[in-house]
Amino acid sequence: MIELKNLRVSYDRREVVKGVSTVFNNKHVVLGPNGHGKTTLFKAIAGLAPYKGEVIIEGTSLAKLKEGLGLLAINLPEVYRLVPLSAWETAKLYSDIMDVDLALVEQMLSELGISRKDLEKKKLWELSAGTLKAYCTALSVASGAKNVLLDEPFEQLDPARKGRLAQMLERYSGTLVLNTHETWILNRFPDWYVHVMVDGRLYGPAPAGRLASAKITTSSVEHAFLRVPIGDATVSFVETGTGEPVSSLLTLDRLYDIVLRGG
Amino acid sequence: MTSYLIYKFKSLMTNRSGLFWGIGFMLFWAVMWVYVFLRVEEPLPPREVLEQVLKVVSALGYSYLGVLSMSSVAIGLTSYKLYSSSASAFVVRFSRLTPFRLLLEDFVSGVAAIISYTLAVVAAVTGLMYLRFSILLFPEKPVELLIYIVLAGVEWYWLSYLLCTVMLALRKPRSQLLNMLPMMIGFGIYATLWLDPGKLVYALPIAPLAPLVVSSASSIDPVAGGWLPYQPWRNPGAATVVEPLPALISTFAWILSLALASLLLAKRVTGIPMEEVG
Repeated sequence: MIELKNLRVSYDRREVVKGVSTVFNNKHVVLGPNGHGKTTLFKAIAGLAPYKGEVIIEGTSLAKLKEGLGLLAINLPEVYRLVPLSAWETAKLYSDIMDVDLALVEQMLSELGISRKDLEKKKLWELSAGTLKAYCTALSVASGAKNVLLDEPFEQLDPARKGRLAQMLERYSGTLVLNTHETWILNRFPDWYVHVMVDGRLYGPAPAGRLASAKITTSSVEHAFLRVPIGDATVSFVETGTGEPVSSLLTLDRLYDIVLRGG
Repeated sequence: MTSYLIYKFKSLMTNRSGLFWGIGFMLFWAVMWVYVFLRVEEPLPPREVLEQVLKVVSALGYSYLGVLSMSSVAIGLTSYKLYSSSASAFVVRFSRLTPFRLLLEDFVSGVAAIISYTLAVVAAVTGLMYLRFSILLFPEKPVELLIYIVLAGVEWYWLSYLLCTVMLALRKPRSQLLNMLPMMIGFGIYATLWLDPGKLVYALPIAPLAPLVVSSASSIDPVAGGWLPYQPWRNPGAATVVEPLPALISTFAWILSLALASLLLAKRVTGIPMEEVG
């Protein structure tokens, strides 16, 4: 379980994450347009960005956390750049220090069409963007950590690989939080909890299935189950009435189109 | 111990850039040192005299080329630390590599790599001397020689650590000036083959160790500099003699200062992600 209390992150006096308070204790999706603080939020939880407020992982404050083996894993590539090694040697190193299950990594990557030979030959920076993302995701999941954060795990993957990875993530038994700007995920994981992240703030959660069948409107609607301010406007997620179906957006980057069109 | 130590050492020892600058480039200068700069005119002096002269020349070669090699590895160590700054911040919290264990294993692998590169330079100069003169020149006091090389390795390690933390603190990880500082220090020490810094040598990092290496390899008095113009083995008193005790005090003072400054600064820069300072 990850608990966030009034989490704030600033870079060069610009606030990127603005007072986020929530609890992640199941399967969650942080859904939001690109550049709105999703990755920064994950970095702060992993202790990779300076933050204010509190991050509590399995009951212990991140600031006081020591020897937290097995508490958290994340798929950001920089976390796996401890020594410039081949990708397979890196996996072996993390198998030793983070209990990453090598057989599971090999199996997951093989299902995603990535062979061990490729990993033995190439350094991390020599992997293609899609392979690197899949590799880091496999390492995080195969660590068996109680909490796993996945930053845009489906990015750069073709539809077939996306489907296979989604199956693997469904099987994960711990707390799993992934962020994305793609809306197809709502139909794929209908029982997961979705938090919408816009302009550094988190809204929700709402069940993914409910969001998937919702419509978005900029009109003031009383029965909206989720309201998200964007600049001077507010978009409402409603189950009935007029509006743009969420499922037709493909990506939440299009929220701005809706606001500009006054949809 | 985790496999971090072995992997880090292996990576440092197989790094192409490190191998080129730390060994390949030094091998070129070792060849120049033995075959071009060293002029021995016929008829050759008696073997004992020749052996003594070659021992001094050989020691000067690997001591000062060794300093340049060490400075190359120190540049590499700084780059490695910058490369791994985010990963280090993560693993000390969420893996078996506690802060102390990471520091210890990193220190051991880093110093071991610096020493290995230097010993390769020692072997190269000794081998080339043998190829040219068919005389195998063993150091007079090998243990003492090794101790001085280890101390130099430790000092270079902490210097590279400090440079990394300074670059992060200044948010300038690509600063060429800071990146190349070890090389500048290395060439500064190399320049003491011609220039005698006098008592100032005790105030300089690593500089007092190079003459001690020469002395332990050849048993001649260590001098602060001016080896080539003054030829102190022929003209005693022509250059400033380096006393081992103040030299060691200077070395330990530098090591302690560099280590303390590195660790204090490391605490301050914790949480600065590389992606944001690039």
